[in-house]
Formats: sequence, structure tokens, C-alpha cells
Amino acid sequence: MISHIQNNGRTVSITIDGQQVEIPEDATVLTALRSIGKDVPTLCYSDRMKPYGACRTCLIEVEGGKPVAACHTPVQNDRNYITQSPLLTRLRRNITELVVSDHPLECLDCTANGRCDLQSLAQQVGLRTPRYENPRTHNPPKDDSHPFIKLEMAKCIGCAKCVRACDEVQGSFILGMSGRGYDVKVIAGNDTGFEDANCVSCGQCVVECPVAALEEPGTRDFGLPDNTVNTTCSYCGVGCSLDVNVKDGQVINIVPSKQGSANLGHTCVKGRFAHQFAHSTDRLRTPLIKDKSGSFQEATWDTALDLIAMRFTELRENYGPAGFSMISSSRCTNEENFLMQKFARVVMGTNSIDNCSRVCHSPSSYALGQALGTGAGTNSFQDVHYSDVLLIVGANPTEAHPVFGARIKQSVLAGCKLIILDPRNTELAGLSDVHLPLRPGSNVAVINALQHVLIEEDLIDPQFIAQHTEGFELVKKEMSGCTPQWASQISSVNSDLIRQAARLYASGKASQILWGLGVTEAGHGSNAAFGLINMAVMTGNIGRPGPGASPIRGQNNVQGASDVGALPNVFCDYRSVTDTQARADHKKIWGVEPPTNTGLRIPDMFDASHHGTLKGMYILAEDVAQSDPNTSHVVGSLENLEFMVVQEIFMNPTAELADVVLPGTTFLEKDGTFCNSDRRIQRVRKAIEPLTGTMVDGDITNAIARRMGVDLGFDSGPDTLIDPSKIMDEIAALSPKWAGVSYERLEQLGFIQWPCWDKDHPGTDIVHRNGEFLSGKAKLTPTPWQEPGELPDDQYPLMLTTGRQLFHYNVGTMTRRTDVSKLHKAKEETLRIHPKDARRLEIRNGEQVNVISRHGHVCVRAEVTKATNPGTVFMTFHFPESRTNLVISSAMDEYTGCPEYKVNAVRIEKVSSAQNQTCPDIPSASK
Amino acid sequence: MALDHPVLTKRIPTPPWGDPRDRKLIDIDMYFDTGGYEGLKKAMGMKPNAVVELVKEAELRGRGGAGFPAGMKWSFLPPVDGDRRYLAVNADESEPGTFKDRLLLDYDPHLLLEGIAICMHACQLDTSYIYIRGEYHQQAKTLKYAVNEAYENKIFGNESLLGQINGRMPQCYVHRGAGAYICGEETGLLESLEGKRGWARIKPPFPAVAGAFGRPTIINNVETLAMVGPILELGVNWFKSMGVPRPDGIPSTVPASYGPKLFGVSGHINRPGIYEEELGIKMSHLIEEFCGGMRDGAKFKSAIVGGISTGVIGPDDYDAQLDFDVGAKYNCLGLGTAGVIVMDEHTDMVAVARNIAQFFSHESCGQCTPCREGTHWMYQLLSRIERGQGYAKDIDLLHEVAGSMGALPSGQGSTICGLADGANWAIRTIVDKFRNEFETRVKKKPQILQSVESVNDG
Repeated sequence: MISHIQNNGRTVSITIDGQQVEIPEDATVLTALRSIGKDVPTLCYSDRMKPYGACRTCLIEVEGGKPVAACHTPVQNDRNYITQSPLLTRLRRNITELVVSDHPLECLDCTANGRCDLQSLAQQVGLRTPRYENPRTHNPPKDDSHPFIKLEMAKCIGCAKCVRACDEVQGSFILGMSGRGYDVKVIAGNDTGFEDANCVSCGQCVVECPVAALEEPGTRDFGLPDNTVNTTCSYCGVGCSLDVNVKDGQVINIVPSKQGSANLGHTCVKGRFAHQFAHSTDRLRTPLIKDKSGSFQEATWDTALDLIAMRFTELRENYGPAGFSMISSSRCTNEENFLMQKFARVVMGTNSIDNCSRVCHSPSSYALGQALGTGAGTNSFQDVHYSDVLLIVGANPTEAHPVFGARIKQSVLAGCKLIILDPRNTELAGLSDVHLPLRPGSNVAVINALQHVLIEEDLIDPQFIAQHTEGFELVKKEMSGCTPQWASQISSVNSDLIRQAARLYASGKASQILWGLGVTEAGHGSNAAFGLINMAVMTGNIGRPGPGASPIRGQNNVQGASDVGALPNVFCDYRSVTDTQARADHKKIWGVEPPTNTGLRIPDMFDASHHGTLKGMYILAEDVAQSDPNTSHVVGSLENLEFMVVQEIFMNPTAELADVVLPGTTFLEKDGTFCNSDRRIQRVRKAIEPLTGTMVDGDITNAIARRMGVDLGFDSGPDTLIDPSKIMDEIAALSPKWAGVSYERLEQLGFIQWPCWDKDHPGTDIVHRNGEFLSGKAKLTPTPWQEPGELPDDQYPLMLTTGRQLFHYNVGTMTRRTDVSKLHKAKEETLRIHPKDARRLEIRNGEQVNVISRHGHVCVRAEVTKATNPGTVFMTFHFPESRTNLVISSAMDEYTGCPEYKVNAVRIEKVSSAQNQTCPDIPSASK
Repeated sequence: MALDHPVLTKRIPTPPWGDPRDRKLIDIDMYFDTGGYEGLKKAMGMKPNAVVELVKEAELRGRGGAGFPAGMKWSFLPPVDGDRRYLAVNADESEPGTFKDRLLLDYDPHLLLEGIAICMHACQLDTSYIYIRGEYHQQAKTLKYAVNEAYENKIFGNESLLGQINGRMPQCYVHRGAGAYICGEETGLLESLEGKRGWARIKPPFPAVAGAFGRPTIINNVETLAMVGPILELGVNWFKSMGVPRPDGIPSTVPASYGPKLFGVSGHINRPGIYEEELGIKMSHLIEEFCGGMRDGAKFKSAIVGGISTGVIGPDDYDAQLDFDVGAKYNCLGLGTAGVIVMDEHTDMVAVARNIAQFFSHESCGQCTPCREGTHWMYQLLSRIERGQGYAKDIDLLHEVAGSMGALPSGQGSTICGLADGANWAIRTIVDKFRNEFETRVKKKPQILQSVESVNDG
């Protein structure tokens, strides 16, 4: 919970109903009395929002004074507070009576029956029928327009908790109170309904509503759940803790868990409402084997697994380690990823295993590992509340990581300064103090110029540099030429703005840098990440609560999948496959010698297949044919394989190309752990049984190994299920930084942030504390500027950058099978283009256009918007039918192979009206 | 007791010293010519703190309604930290029966501006906002004109004679409200000033610590600030020579009622208007000497002494002494704004109560439950009683609702701001003092219940 008590250590002594209490001097009476297990009724109070003091049911008496509202009255030394008295009882009853006087009394037909705060309060004060005999005069119609948020004003008690949740928790300011006095009512936007008011559908208003004025379909339609299971969200890297409500084996709704350490009781539209995919009718429910004609035939598990075991064995024997590769899934659990890499290394004898962090944050991991000694962010989410300056580069957290984005907004609204480096006018750019709208691909130039200003204007911390770092002189030399004027020419950002940004960053006592895929997926991403780390290190803004340098990881478990070794060059905990000690440790536990040669990275796998050296692949829940760049190249290489197995929950373009498709399960059907963006390991718990015909992914991998004659060591015999906690024990045994992690401890602590060095270690919220870097001294790395792989020219004059939008997730496999698709903004892909460009190209809003790059073309509807800047256009990749990745180049980061999703030269062509607004099949642009 | 010369109405012809028909706008030249800005000149020769001490010593009590000592309020400000501090002038004169500030704004705006300048110097406030009632169109125009004149004459602005305050040159802005009574409540005013919905804030923090835009802010009424110039000019002793001193034996921490005061008298009298007199003047004196007596020679029945929020005094209180102790002496909320509404023997007190309840029901902001629902039901109950369709138990219910809403001890701390106290006192004092009128209006026993709609439609 966000504590409104800033404990400065001083306490006061008060008496509550005769009981002496020591309490921090800035506590409220309500906190004080609740701290000793007493309570007074409240209707408008929420412990994560500022006291509001409007319902007045929490009145208490102060001896020698008038009654006061406990929720907002600060404690005063030596005062005697009384929570029960005839006067208070009368006042509470009168107030309750007034609330009820304008509230329907038909409790039985109300969805909040049995969990309604007003009902309990009426019961408590003994209220039956109010003395105000007139019938209610407020009976407005229900607002049923939004798929998830239903508003019934007749039941509203005017506590404004929803309004405050929208303001204080989500920072959207969509809801407001309109009218006054008795006619006051909650409105969305300008009373236009939720959707038109730009509601982000996070559902916090519904969570906070003490009655049933705001309601969601789940509880409304199904009543109370049979069972509630706490688990971790499987969408983005924030790692929200969720309570899944289950009835009759079906998920009826999902609510944020108030105990959640990453989300503090908050969620976004996806985590909260986009869960129906788990019960979708088109889930894969039986193994499929492709016959000679190329069509899939249903098969039994035995047949499919035997076939796979046989073919894998053949591949291993015929082609050796080079002939086989695996792609693990950052959507699956740590345990499943560990199992996959163990399968690759032990069963198949190859290091060729990779996961999708390759195409997102591999440059961040690489740079952080090289510079500081650990491939993960330095700080925790809560540090944004302690930062006084935030520099956010190439990230749109309010859409892609909405819950973290909301926390950033909370911090900014509380006064934290904000610098945004982004080609788009994102929501945070609108709230920023300095926005550098750079041209896509010019990150390194601008970051170098920022470093230049820091060094030139002596805004660095020489003492910190001398004591804790190495390599400063090299950086200083490299940066000497990178003036803001120089960067301005490359990035088209005003040089004064660059100076201003550097000065503002350096002015903070606790400046934090956060970055997203705009840094890593934009060509030379490793250099950009190195540059940002340099900035933090040079100014000593690291290793304390507040300052730091952290990537915002994209997927739920992309951190974990890499941590547990689903990478071609390292074992778990990033221990090199060539490291003698690591090899010895693994051999000791695995009983076999792990392979020595570094394996293939994802892009290398496709090349190897093209070259005919790679013959077989095993892909776990990763739709590479859709999500990886330069789709035609990917598809071609997959078609080239002799044998491919894909484990999926839905049929998708990658699975279409497989020889065997195995039906896996969603996060709702399995046990395990995820590790989120701030190194937070949290439990995933089975809420519903795996759908008939499906198998938990880890069990599938294990079964294949068993049928190939290998016991991976986590089941209790052939044809039994694995025990994920045993896998975690093995991860802990092999990973020094995870050594203290176990299921038992996770149950106790709720979460553990690695590094967690032993069973007594509490985990680490901030790494590299006090300049004690895990690598000893932090390495400052010179980052020479290089042109991105894609540059605009006369033929392709615009820069296309890609990303996510709030309502969908990645290729939409999950979200597009839910009611989220009913929201206007989530219906189809659009090309976001600035009015200036649109006017020049004579493109009107809503018109079909062709987006043509050097690599392919797609046809979408244009959305003319100032959310992007002139010269830059934007698309998401959520809509498989528009195949955004067809137009993306194969250019990649030189160190890590991370593709340049964010930098693509394109031209936009209007689809002529004669073609009647449909997309013609234009010839693909030549390469 | 009586004033021997006008103070606040020095330049505004008012009986008995002048004829209202001779009134005209006093521009800055005329203001200077008649001794204007002398108080400011004197203040500028003093250390800021000394000015605060002087106002404190004068025991100038706020003229906006609550009667809080202005000097004391000023001394609550935290020490200067170099960042912004504000003055918010409460010109949101919306209390029914109150029109005293309008007189000053209409004819002698510089008297206010002089007070503002002195306050800004004394309290080290760099920016002042005059929050003026939305309906005061003409007054806002006049005020803006006067503020311009003040800028031209270097009272405010980049060449201000006040010099730099908190590293900034002092500025003064006129900000118009949008027609909500609640925005006259000091924290509602600040919210509105910040561009938000005019809802009262919970306290603490008090505005002197965290007011407008989260910064220390002083909020004073127009008349209070207008009084500051003359105090500076003529001294504490002069000011204290008027009004009602503290009775012997009362500790000096209890503020007395010194100085002159504008009384706005309306209702069933022959000559309604604003009259200036010493605090402590008898109401009968006001009515007979200034207002030409009761209209049509009718008999006095009741009066509201300081805007409707303060409640009524009874038929026996014709000689009520109008000072800040009026509340304790005559069982009403207090002197309020000194907007006296006189009612004669023909007045229907049930209708008065209903009218007042209707006002509060309309103006309740809707934030606190007791006020939002309570003012509504009071209005409904009174409508019912007025139409002869209420029941005896409604009177008790009315009394109980009224008694359980409000921020003051009488209202048991059940709301955030004082709006509900006004509703509470107004209704409760009327019911208490004229209960027989209510009892004769209600039915003896409950019959078939009628809905609000049918009552209203009927």
C-alpha cells in the first residue's frame, strides 16, 4: 500500500478508549486505532488514497472537544480518543440513515449483496427503514456501454472513491463529480460515457466502489466465487499480483491483489479483464501431426510424443548439436524455461537455445552485465517514488506497462521532474518537463550529447568516478566531439533542449533512468544502453533508493527466462557455458558434461536453417513467424526445416509451419514462478485445471525427455507430472544469485528480488548499493555513434517505429480473444501519422494506405494524430492480419542480435478511391 | 455610542454623513488626494513583522463571517523560504443578506488594494488573487480598472514600491468565480482558484501552511483588508477607541470587538442599505436612526443578524447589541457578515425556514454526506410542513437532522466546512424560537404518506 505516513521516527503517545498507544506523530487517528485492532466504520476511506473525510461515518470523540473524523485527523500527543459513545452511535446512525435515504433498498437484486459496505454499516448501526419517508428521487438509467465497467448511479453514495482512484492511483483523471448537493453524480469525461472519455479501463473505480454503483460483469453475472487463487499476471513485465476468482472450474473474474508488491492493488485492462482467452473455444485441445499432404491430423498424446522422441533422437544422431535448436518462451514459467534449457543441453547436447529477450532487451542485459556485473535493472518499481528526476528513454510505460506507468505518473504528479526521450508524443511526454522528440535511430547520438554536456559542464561526480569506476578517460575522449549541435543535426532535436535535459538530469539528487524497447530495438541498442548506464554512473546516480538505471522489461517472464539460462551462451544466472566452475557445477548435478560451443541466437537460427545446417527446432510458445522482424525470411527458414515441434495454446502462423503441434496451457492452469522487470520472483499458482486434452508445458518437455530415455530429475517416475518446486531447488543450487530462493520462502515472503544469496537473505531491492558494484568497479564504456541499419531516402522518406498500445498485447493471441476487442480503440490496426505528413500526402483520417518499406508492404487505415511527430509514423504489431513485421528490416544490434523494430524507412501511399478502400496486392518492394 | 466620522465609507457618501446619490467611483488620483495609500507608506517604513504585530495589537477581527483575528492569522505563516506565498482576497460575497463588500468594490476599490499591498508587505506574499463573485460583473470591471491604476502607480508590478518579495515583484490578479456559494468558503475558494471543483479541503493543513497551489496562503475578506490601511494610518489606539472592549476579567486571548463595521440592513425596513457604525451598536438604533424604522410601522418579529447562516434572533431581541458576541448573547451563530435581515410581524417563519433550507440544499457542494443529504431532506420536510402536509414528528426529525450536521461543536464535527453549520443554525434557531408556528402547521397524526413529487407538484 502507498503509505501516507512519512514516518520521521518521532512518535506521540495517545489513548484510545483508555488504551495507551505509541504512534508516529504524523499518523491519523484512524491509522492509530486500526493499529491496535480497533475499528470505526468508513465508507469513503481507502488506505491507498489520501484521506477524503466526506462520509463522516468514522467520527470519534476527542475528550474535551467536538467529534472529529478519524480518517483525516492527525493524532495529538496526550489526547484521549473515544471510539464508542451514545453521541457517536446517534451520529453514525443518523449519517447512515441519510446515505440510505437516497439508496435503493432492494438488496436482494443487488450484485453487492453480502459484500456491500453500506449494507454492513446499516446492519452495524441497526438501521432498518429510514425516517425520510419519501421515495428516492434519483433513478437515472444504467450506463451499460462499456464492456467491463457498468455504472448504476442510482446506487451511488457519493463517496468519490472511484474518482479518487482514477486520479490518485491510475492518474487518468477520467472520472469527476458533476452537479452539486443532493444531485451530485459521478461522470466519465464530460458525461460522455467511459469509452469516449478516454477511460483506460483499469477497473480501479470498480475495485474501490463500496456499493454496486460500479460493477463488472464477472461478479454481476456469476455471483460469489467458489475459490480465489493468488497468482502473477502473464502479460507485461510489471508482474502484477492477481486474485483469480473461480467458479465451477471457470475463471469468473480477476481482481488485483492488495498484497501485490509490484502493483499495490492496481492492474491494467489486460491483467484485469482480458482473461477469457483461457476458456476460448479455439484453444488447441489435442496434439496435431502434419500428414504428407501438409494438413494437420488430430493425434493422441502417445502418438505425438513417441513421434517427437523418435525424430529428435534421429536429429541428434544425424546432425549433432548444430542441427537442432530450441526457442524457449518468456511467457512460460522459470521452471519451464529451466527445463527447456536443460533439455537442450542434457538431452539434445546443444547450447542452441534462446528466448525472445533476444528480440527485446538482450542489449540491456548485455550492457548492464558488462558495465555493472548483473544483467538486470538496478532498482525496484517503488524507487520512482523516491526519485526527483526521471529520464525515460524510448518507453511508453503508460500503455505498455500501465501499472508501472501509473506509478510514474503518481510520482510526476507529486513533483518529480520528467525528461522524455522519444520520437512520439506519448502520455508521459505530455507530462514531461523536457521532451526530446528525436528521429528514430538517433538514440546513441543524443545520449552521447547528453554525456558530452554532463562532462563538459562538469555536472559529474568526480569522487564517485575515481572511487568506483574505470574507463572514464576513454568515455571523455569519445564524447568530446559529441556536442549537442552535432547530435542536433543527426536527431533533429534542438541542441538547447539536449543541454536543458542534461542539466535537469544532473540537478536531481536522485535521478533515475528508465528505458524501454525504443533503446534496444533501435539499432546499436547495446551502445545506447551503455550510454545511459554511463550517465547514471558518472553522476553517481546509482545504488541508492531513487536513483538508478533500469530497463522496463517487456514480457512477464523475459527477465526470468534469461535468468534461468534459456540463452545460447550462458547457463542459469548468466554463468558462461565456457566457465570451468559453472561447467563443473552443472556436471555435478546433471551427471553429464554440458556442451561447450556457444549455441545459436534466434536470428542465427533462421540463417542456419536457410543455409541448411539447422534441421530441427522445438519452439515453446513463441510466434516467431509473426513477432520477429522480416517475416518472409523467418517463414522461409522455418519451412526449410526437416522437423519442427511447436507447443502453443492457439493455432498461429508459426504453428501452421510445424510438423507436430502440442497443446500447452495458459498461466492460469499451471504452477511455477515468474521473474518480473525489477527482478521480483513471484509465484504462479494453478487456478483452474488444464483444459481437457492439453498438458502443462513443463510436463510436455519432461515427457519428451522421458520418451528419449532421459530422466531430467523433476518427476516421480515415468508418466508422472513434474514438481516445479524441485526445479526451483535446482535453479537455486546452480545460481548463486538465486541461492536463497525456494517455494517455501516465496510462500512466506510473497516475493523475492534476486540477488538472494542464501536462505536467510531477504533479497535485494537495490543492487550496487553505495558504489559496491557486483563487477567490483563499474565500467564506463565509450559508445561511438553509428548510423542505424535503416535510413530514409527519397524513395522511403518516413521513419516507421513500432510498439504496443494499451489494450492489446504483442500479437494479440490472448487479448484479441477477449472482450477487450470490443473497445473502440482496440478494434483494428492503424498507421499513426502526423497531420503535417498526412496533409502533404493528402491522406485523410480513416483512409486505407499502403505502408511500403524496403522489405515488404502492409495495408492499414490511417489515423491522423499529433501523438507522433512529423516525419515519423507509428504502428503496433497487435494485429496479425496487418502483419506489421513484414515491413521491418533484419538489421540488428552488433553485440546481441536484437532487431531494429523501431527504425524503418517507409513510404506511405494512398490507396486510390477507385480501388474502393480495399488493399490491392501491390508488388513487394525489392530488397 | 456612535461613530463621529466615517472610516470605511469616508469616500462613499452614506447616511448620516452623506447622500448615497452623491456616490461615485473614487479613482486613484482622488484616492491619493484624500489621504489614500498613507497607510501603505507608513507600512513600508516598518519591518514586515512590525506590521503584523501592529495588526495583531489592533485585534482586527475578520469581517468575512468567522471573526478570526486577522493579525493572528497572519502570524501563522511559516518563515519565508524564498518560494511563492499567496494572498487570496475573498470577494466572493455570496451570503444572502450580505452586500457590504460590493459597496467598497463599487466605489472605493483602492481602499481594498491598499490593504492588499500592506498585507503583501507584512506577510511577504508575492502574489495576490482577488477572488470575486461571478455575479459581480460590474464590480469585477471596476476592480480590474483599479488594479490597472495601481500597477500604473507602482503599487504592484515590476516597478512596485513594495520591492521584491520572495525574489519576485508583487503581482495582483482579479479572478472571477463561477457562481457557487461554496467558493466563498476559504478552501473551496482555493480549489476554485486552482481551477478545480470548488470543494472544501480537509484541514489540517491550514491554508497558512499549505494553501493555494500547496503554498502558504493568507485568505482575508475585502472589508478586513480595507480596514488595514486606516489602522496603519491612524494607529491602534484610534482603532481601539471604537467598538466594544473586552469586559474586565476576560483574558486577553479572547478577542474583543473593536473598530467600525459595515452593516448591510435589508428586509422590512424603510431604507435598506449599507451603514457604517461602531461594533456593538444596537440593532434598534440601526433600524431607527439609519433605516427609517420598520416598514409601514409594523412590529419587529425577528432578524437574521449576519447573513442567513447565523440564524435568527427572537422578538425580544430588538435591542440586540451587534458585536462579535452576538451569538453567545442571543443564541445564534454569531455576527457573521453583519448582513442584517429584519422581519416584521407578518413574516411566516416556516416559509423563512423553507426558503433558507432551499438555499442551502441548492448550494451544498455534495461532498459530505450529512450536508448533501441533510440539506435536501430539511428542504423536503420544510416544504411539506409549509404546505400543511407535515406531521408533528417531522419537526423533531428536522431538529435532529439539523443538529447532527456542521463543522462546529454544535454540529458535532460532522462536515468538512461550515456550510452545514449555516443550515444547521438557521433552521434550528427558527424552529427553537418559533416552534409554535411549526406546530400549528403540521397534521396531528400521520396519514397516508405523500411522495416528494406530489408535494412539489401539488
